[in-house]
Amino acid sequence: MAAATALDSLPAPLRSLRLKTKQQELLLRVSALALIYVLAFVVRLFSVLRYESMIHEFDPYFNYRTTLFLSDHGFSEFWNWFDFESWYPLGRVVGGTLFPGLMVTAALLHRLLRALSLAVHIREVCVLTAPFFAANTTLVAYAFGREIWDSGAGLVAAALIAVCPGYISRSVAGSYDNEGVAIFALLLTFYLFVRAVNTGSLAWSLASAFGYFYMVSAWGGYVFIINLLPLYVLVLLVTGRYSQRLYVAYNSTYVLGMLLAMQIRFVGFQHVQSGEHMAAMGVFFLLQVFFFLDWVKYLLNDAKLFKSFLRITLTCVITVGTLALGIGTASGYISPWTGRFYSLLDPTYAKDHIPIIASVSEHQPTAWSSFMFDFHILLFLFPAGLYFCFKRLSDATIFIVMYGLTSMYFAGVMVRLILVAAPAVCLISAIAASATIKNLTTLIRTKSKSPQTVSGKSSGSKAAAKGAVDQSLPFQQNVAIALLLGAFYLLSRYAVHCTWVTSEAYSSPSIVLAARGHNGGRVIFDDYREAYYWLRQNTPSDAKIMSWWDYGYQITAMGNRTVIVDNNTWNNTHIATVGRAMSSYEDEAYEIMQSLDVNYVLVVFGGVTGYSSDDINKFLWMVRIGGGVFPVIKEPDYLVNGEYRVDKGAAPKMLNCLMYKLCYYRFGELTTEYGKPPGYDRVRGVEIGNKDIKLEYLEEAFTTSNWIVRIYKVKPPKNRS
Amino acid sequence: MFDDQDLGFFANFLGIFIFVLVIAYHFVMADPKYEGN
Repeated sequence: MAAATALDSLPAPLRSLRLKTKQQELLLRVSALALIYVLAFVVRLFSVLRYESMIHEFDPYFNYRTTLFLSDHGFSEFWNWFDFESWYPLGRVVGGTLFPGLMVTAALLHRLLRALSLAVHIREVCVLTAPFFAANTTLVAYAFGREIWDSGAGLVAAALIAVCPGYISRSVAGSYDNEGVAIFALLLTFYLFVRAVNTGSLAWSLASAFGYFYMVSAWGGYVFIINLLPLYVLVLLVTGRYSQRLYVAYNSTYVLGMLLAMQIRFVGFQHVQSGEHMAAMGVFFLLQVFFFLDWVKYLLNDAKLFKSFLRITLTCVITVGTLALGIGTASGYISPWTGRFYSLLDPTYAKDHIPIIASVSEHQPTAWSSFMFDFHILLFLFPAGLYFCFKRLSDATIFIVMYGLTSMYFAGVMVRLILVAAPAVCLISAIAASATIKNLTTLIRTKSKSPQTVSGKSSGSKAAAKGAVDQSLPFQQNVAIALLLGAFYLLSRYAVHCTWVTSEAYSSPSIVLAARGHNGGRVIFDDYREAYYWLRQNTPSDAKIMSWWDYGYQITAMGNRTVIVDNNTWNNTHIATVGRAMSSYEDEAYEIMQSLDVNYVLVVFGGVTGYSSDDINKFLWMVRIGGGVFPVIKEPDYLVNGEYRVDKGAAPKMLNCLMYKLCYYRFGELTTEYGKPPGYDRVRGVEIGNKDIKLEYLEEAFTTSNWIVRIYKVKPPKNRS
Repeated sequence: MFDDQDLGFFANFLGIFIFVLVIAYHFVMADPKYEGN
C-alpha cells in the first residue's frame, strides 16, 4: 500500500509506468521463463568449461560418428549405410538398426547454423544438442503444468525440471545420446495428448501423433508411451470418464502415430506385430466397441434389449480378441515380449536370464540414496502433489498421476529410468509447491486487506469483515510469512543442491579422467584418446581390434579402426566369443583371435592409477557372458571359495588367462605406491599373484602414459618348418 | 576467464533468483485486484 501511495504522489508521466497486476503477472512470467531457459542451458556446461568441448562416454561416440556420416554423405546414403568397421566379420546395417532422430536433429541444426553464416563444427552442435533440448523441455513443462493445474504450477515445474539432477545426468553438454532429445519428445507428446483429450480437438491429436513420431525416431523408450496411453484410456473408461474428446484424441493419435512410426526402419511393423505394442491396439478396438455400444444404446432406447445385446457383443469381442492374440502368438506373427521388457516388469529377470543386460551398471535396481541424490526435495513434494491431484481429479490430473506412479516404479527397477520419472516427479511436485505457495500468499494478501476494509467502510460491511476476521487464526499472517520463507528456503536449497550435483557428479566426460593430486590440484588422465589416436596413426587402416564391447564405439569413432564387438550388443554369441577369448589361456585365445582375423587386442587397466572401471573388474561379466554360450568357460574356475582374487591366492586359471596376462604384463616390475612392493595393484589393493608373465602369441605394442590403456599386437602364425 | 567455479556461482544465484521470481509471481496472482481472477 505504501508503494502505491508513493507512486500516486509521482508526476503523471512516471505514474503511467505503474503496471496493472495483469501486466505485472505477464512481466514476471516471461522473465522467469526466460531465466529458466537460460539456467537450463548454462547449468549443463560445467564439463565444457572444466575440460573442453568434447563428446562424452561410449554411445555418444557412435551417435557422433553417424551424425558426421549423415552430414557428409546425405540422408539417403546414411539410411542405406552398411558399416564394415564394426562387428567384424558380420558388419552392421546402420540405417536399419538405429533411431535416427538425434542425428537428423543435430544435422538439421548444423545446416541451419551454416545457413545463418555461423561457421560451427558439427561436433560443437552435437555437444550442445542436449542442453539446447533440455532448455526447450522447460518450456514444454511450463505448458504441461499450465494444462494440468495452472500457470503458477507450470512455472514451478519449468524451474524444477531445468535443474533436476535426474534429468541433468543425461543431458549435460557432450552427452550426445538419444535421451537428450527423447525426454523433450516424451514430454511434448504427453502434453499434446493431454491437451487433445482436454479439448477434443483433431489438430492437437495430430500434433500429438507427430510428437510421438519424433519420439519413436529418437529413442526406444517410446514403448513407455505406447503402453501408458492405452493404460490411461483404459482407466478413464473404467472410471466412467469416456467422452467424445477421448475418442477423437486416442484414435487419431494412435492411428497416425502408428503409421508414422512404421517409417522408422528400426521399428518397422512392430506396432502390429510385437507383443509390447498389443495393449495399444487392444484399447483401440475396445474404444470402437465402446463407441458402437453407445450408438446402439442410443438407437435401441430399451434397457433390457440393450443389456442382452451388450452381453452378446462383449462375449463375441472377448472371444475374438483372445483367439486373435492366441493364434497370432502361436503362429509367430505376434512376437513375444523382449527380455528388456520382462526385466522392467520383473527386476530379477535380467539377472537370471540375460547377463548382458544385468552387466551394465545403469541397469541395476536403484538405491534409495540415488533417489535422494537425483530428486532432493521433490521426493517428499511428490506425495504431496499426488494428494493435490486426487483432491482436484480431472482427466489431466489422472494422466499425470498415472505417469508419475508408473515411471516411479520403473525408476525403482532400473537406475537409468530415473530419467523418465524426472519430468513427472517435477510436474507433480510443482503442483504441491505451487498450490502451497498460492495458499500462503492468498492468506497474506487477504489478511492485509481486512483491517483497511474494517476501518474504511460503514457498519453494514463491518459485519462481513468481522466474519472474515473471525475465520482467520491468530498470527495467521505471520505464520504464513514464516511458512513462505520456509518454502523459499527449501526451493533455494534444491537449486544449490542441483548445481552441486551437476558440477561434482554429472559433468565428467568419462573419456578424460580427473583426479586430485597430492597438492590438491586437478590431475587429468587423457589415456583413452592417447590410445585411440595411436591406433589411428600407427596401425594399418584395415587392422581389426579386439576389446571388450564397452570400447567398440570409441575405437571406431576415434581410432577409425574395425572392431569385433561394440556397444550395440546385438549379437550375444559374438560378444560371448570375445569373452571366451579373454578368459581362455593364451594358446586357446590365439586360435579364436586367428579365426576372427584380430590384429590388435586392447585392454583397459586401472592398477596404476586406481581407476576402478577397468577390465579386471569387468572380467567376471566376460566369464559369465562367455560361459552363457560356451559351457567350457566356468565361473568357479576363476574364483577361490567364491572369492574373486588377483593376488597369490588367486585361482590358477585366473592367473594365466589372457585378460590377466595382458593387464599385468610387466606390471610386476613397476612400483605404483611408496612403501608398497612392486606389482601392487592400486584398485584391488593387493600385490599381484603372477609377476613373471611371458607372452608367446602376442607382443606389447603400446601402453599409454598412465597405463590405463594397453594395446597388444597379435603375432602372425609361425612358419611351418 | 569465466571458469567452472564462476559458473557454479552464477547457476546458484540464478536458481535462487528464479525461485524469488516464482514466489513473486504467486504473490501477484494472489492479489484480490488481479484482473485475471
